[in-house]
Amino acid sequence: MRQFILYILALFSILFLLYVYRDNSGPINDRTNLNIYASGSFISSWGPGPELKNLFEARTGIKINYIDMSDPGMTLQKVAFSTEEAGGDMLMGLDQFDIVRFADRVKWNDISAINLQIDAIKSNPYLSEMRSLDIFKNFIPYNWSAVAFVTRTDKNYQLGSLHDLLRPELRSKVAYEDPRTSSPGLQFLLWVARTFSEDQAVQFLKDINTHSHSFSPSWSTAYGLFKNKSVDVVLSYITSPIYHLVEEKDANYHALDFKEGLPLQVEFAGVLSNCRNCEAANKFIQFIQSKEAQRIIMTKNYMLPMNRSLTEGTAFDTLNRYKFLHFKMYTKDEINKWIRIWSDIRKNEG
Amino acid sequence: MLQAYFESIKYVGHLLPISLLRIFVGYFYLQQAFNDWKIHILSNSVVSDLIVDALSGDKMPYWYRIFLSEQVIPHWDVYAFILVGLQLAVGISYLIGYVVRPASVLGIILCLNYIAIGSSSQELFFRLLIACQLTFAWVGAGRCLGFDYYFYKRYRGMWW
Repeated sequence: MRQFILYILALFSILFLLYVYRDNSGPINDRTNLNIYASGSFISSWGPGPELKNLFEARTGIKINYIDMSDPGMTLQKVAFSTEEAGGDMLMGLDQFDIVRFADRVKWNDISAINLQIDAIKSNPYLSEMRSLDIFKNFIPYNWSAVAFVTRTDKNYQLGSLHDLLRPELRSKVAYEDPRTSSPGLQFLLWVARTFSEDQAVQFLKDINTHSHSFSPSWSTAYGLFKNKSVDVVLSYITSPIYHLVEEKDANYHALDFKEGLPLQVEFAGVLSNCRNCEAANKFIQFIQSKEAQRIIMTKNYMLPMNRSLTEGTAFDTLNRYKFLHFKMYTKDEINKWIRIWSDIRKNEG
Repeated sequence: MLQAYFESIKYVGHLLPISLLRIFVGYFYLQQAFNDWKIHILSNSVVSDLIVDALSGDKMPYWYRIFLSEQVIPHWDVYAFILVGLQLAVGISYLIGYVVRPASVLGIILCLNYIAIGSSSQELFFRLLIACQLTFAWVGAGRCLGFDYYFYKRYRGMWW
């Protein structure tokens, strides 16, 4: 026993010395850097992160360090648990659901003074309701898109409404995302809830549950099924076909327009109140609202910029023909209620 | 001591398969310790994803939830240090076959902790790991291809 205790003590002593003399000069501990929580797709080499970083660093001399945020909800909870300083100064990639569900657990800086998006939002009839929301004080929207079903043009499906998804020829041919783990999946759930009465919506979801190919945990998994031709239709974004057109020169994809209107997804950025380098974070918030940054986000993130004039003359301009639903913020109770309904349907059918 | 290390294969060779499993499990613990050191100590991560995820769910016992939220999270840096230290202690012990029996008890406690906070998909893995470590403790897995053989020959007793 004595040997064991000595072994443990020796090991912890060595570990303690390593801890005391650890190198604390990493980029995340440098207060002159700007640390940004962002999603993996945002900061990957093909995402807008690297180009935004280079441009911002060249303009301001402030170094950016991205922190990979696998799940915004998880990251926000971690930040909420931190008693002093979080690792990051600001957060990008929050959608309207993340804000409602998690953002109230974290304190945010008031950035209304540097919010330059008011005019852009005023001019967009679908987003104009956003102006009156309280969240606008702490978050700025930097891109948006609509959730839609995407298919291959050669499949020649004539779908024009949510009910068409239950057509017999589409049995096991549509890939959805699970609303409990995926943002487009939650958009679909609330889209159904918004379109039908509660009883009709529950019945529709039950039918969809048995009719679908799968409910994947993430957008990328569902889109993978679509890409490898396991399914003919996938729940994605109206901007997805533009990606294939621009990056792969493949025009065989299109997003389906539904008569109910397509729900909007908006991405926001916010500055944490326990930021270390708040001034740099504010500068970055101003920067991502600039035309250059918005153009980078549009062409790399394949989402629509807040400033609509930037889409003129680009492939994104063709998206104006779609019918969108007006932006809506759901309450936490509404979201939880429909998630519960969905869980019960899955449990009973599974 | 080194001679005894290899001599053990000759005299308690029947324990060799279990010793190889012990070395493999030791490698797993060491890997965990290095990962956690990098994530929680060097990069000053706020709190482990595992704990945040566990507190969001409703699986763990109430007293453990209170313990995590009131004690562990406010002093996460200290707990992260202890966690890494224990993982390292178990990992090295299994790898070199030194004080394997008491280290197995520590390893089992770590696994019980992971089961309490982990997801149900990981539960089976940690149950299997507990079964492995019970076997290590039972047979004294450090006596073959390990330094416990050397100490067992000299001091005897239940700790080797």
